[in-house]
Amino acid sequence: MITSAEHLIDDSDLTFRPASMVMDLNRLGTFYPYPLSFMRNLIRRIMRERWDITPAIFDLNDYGYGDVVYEITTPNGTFSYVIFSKFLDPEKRSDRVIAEDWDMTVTLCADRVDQVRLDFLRKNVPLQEMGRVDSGCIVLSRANKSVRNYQYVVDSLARGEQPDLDIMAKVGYLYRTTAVYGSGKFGMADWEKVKVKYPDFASPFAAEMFSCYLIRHFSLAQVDWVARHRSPDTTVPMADKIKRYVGIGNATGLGMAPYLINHPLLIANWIEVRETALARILTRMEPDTEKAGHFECYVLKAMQHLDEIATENSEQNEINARARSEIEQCLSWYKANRKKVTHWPVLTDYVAENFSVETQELLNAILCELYPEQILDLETRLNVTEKYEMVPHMKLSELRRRIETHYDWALDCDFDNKSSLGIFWYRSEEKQEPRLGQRYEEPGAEKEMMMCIARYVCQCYTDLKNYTAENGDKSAAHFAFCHPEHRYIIRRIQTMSATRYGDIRANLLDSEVLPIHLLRCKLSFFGVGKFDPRSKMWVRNTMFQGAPLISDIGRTFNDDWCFPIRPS
Amino acid sequence: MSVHINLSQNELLALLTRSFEALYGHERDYYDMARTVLWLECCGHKGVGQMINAIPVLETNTLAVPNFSHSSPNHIIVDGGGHSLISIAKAISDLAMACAADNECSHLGVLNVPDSKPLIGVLSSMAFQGFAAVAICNSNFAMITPGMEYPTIYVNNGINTLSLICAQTEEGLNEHITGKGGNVLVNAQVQQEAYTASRDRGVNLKRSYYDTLNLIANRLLVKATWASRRGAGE
Repeated sequence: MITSAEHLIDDSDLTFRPASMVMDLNRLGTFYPYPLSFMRNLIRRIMRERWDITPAIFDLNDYGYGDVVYEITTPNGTFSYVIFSKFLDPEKRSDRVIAEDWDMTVTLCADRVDQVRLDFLRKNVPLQEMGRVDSGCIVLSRANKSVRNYQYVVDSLARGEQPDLDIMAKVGYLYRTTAVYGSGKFGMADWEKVKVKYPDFASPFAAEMFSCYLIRHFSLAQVDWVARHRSPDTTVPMADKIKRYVGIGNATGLGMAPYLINHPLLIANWIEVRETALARILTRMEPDTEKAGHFECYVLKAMQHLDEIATENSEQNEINARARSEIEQCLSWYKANRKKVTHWPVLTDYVAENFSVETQELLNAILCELYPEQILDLETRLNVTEKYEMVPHMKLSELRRRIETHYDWALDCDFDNKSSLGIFWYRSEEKQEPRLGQRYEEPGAEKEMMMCIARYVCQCYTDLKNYTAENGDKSAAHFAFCHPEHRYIIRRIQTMSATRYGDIRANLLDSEVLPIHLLRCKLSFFGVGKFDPRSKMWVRNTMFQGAPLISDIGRTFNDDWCFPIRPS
Repeated sequence: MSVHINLSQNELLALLTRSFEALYGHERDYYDMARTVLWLECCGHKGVGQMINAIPVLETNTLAVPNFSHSSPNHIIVDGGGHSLISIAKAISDLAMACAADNECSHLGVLNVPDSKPLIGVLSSMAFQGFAAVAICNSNFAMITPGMEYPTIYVNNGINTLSLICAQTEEGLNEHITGKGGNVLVNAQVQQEAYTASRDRGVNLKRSYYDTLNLIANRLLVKATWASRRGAGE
């Protein structure tokens, strides 16, 4: 009989960081991308398997508007990436999910695309949420130009000049995605189907990441095309080393937050994989001369990377500057104390005692870069089947024990304090966009989303104690029958208390909560960097900056494109 | 406009989840209700149709609270209070499993509910948890054994009481079934094929059903205002 989720990874010799440390939202909000981030996994796979990505249709006018279809051949099948590029009235260009028109709309679909299918897609893909696609489509997305950067690059190339890296460094991309949909939205293929039918994309968000990678590829092809058609006599193609420095922008808002709360098993698994990678290094690896050299190189690269992040957000600038300064001090201390650092925990302990959480997590990400051979097998462990089944015969005394030991952080929340319930999460009538409301000022709290796990745990705990006092130590089924409002949270407690890391530890209704931590946590697993917060609720960032180009497939590949820095 | 719309399983699950959330707020386990209806629909048991038919009952908020009583340690009578099994079948199966875990076998008679087939929708999760079970509902006798994903549905040979029987093993279950089912109506393979087809090609749903569910689900949406846009970070 299944009574609990098993620990997914057998690394019994390892010492893991405790859930109380790792699952704290403030720490999760400082995670950096690492070698098992989804973009990194995808690129390794593309390079290892030498995917063939070729334009089957490249039907653009002189301004870069028209249809493009890339055909992708992998060891397991053929896919098509369909792009519709058009003129967009500048007044309609918006990063917000509620926008209704875009410079580029795209879909990744299975098999080759014939004219009939292309016509069907042309009628629906540009409409995005307002259209309907079918189960042959895997991803639906759109992107807008970063107008200043795009025009500047086209102008430069048309004049026969390479774009100035100082200018490129400020933005770092030509297009910015504003939504990337998968998992069955708008009639697309379900994740369950993707897992079974399309093994090339059967790891978390692989198809979505691939879509972003091809938007980046198209953006580079498009600027070359437009420049060449504007000034055929003077134009030059963008140099490959600059192309590699161009990523794809992304704007992410609150929509990502409910996903983290609604998929706790998946998130706990991603965290466990990450912590396993770190624990393997801290427990088993010793810093030899070769790794010490690599460590210094990665620290220097990370420092330059942090230096080059351009954001108008003063708080983020302070965070970046402090992390840069602290990691430099960390390197100095390491070099001065090389003989003392016989194991990496000597260094991580020093950093934990002296520097910020941000720097601690930056160091952890760097350490993971040093030992790919120790951790890349974990790449296949990122999937998990999410089942949150009730364990009906569990006695209430056991349920209570689990709450007290695994959800003590929730019991510590003071929900009598007004500010602990200061905000509520809801879906707006505008595209069902998740938003935050001020509970005591705005209408709509009666329709709030179920986002505050801590609060539901507390309510369940109180009723459980009262029920037990009246009825004795009955089963969870008896309690849930009499208190159906707690059945969901009971299932969740039973499931998550059997995992190593459990739920994210935060009261998401607190007036002071920073949802941006949730976004950054998830984005770090995607592999996203260069955070540019526009408020505490949405963030711009850059994907695939530094990644190899499609023309690099088949060439020697070093999986070292983390902490992208401007080319020399 | 077509009379049908093709939805992915995930899309339908999301719509059902929002619909149940709109109906019950956070007072019920609306995720599991949605999963039950989705399973019924994808396996060919017209789950959404059953839900649509039950809406008048699901919408009623003056019904009595369901309750249960033990007539013996392993025999429970559930009074549904007039509620649809769509909203209480999971809680009933919880009781059946908890009781079977303590007594090897449990027998639940279900009274005062307006429907019966949603009981079939809980069998799969009971088998996943390692139990054997039979749901006896009007014309159907549905049986599942531990580890199976889909029940076999037989003609009900004359058992009148709406019942859920649960045991720790298949053998234990057989000992407690007084009247076996007749001819096979739907075997496990047919349901599996229906489920796989809906996973691979989506679920064809009557557009009228889709519109009805959206009308309910959209009650959760909050009016867009300048202040609400600020709540998205504008």
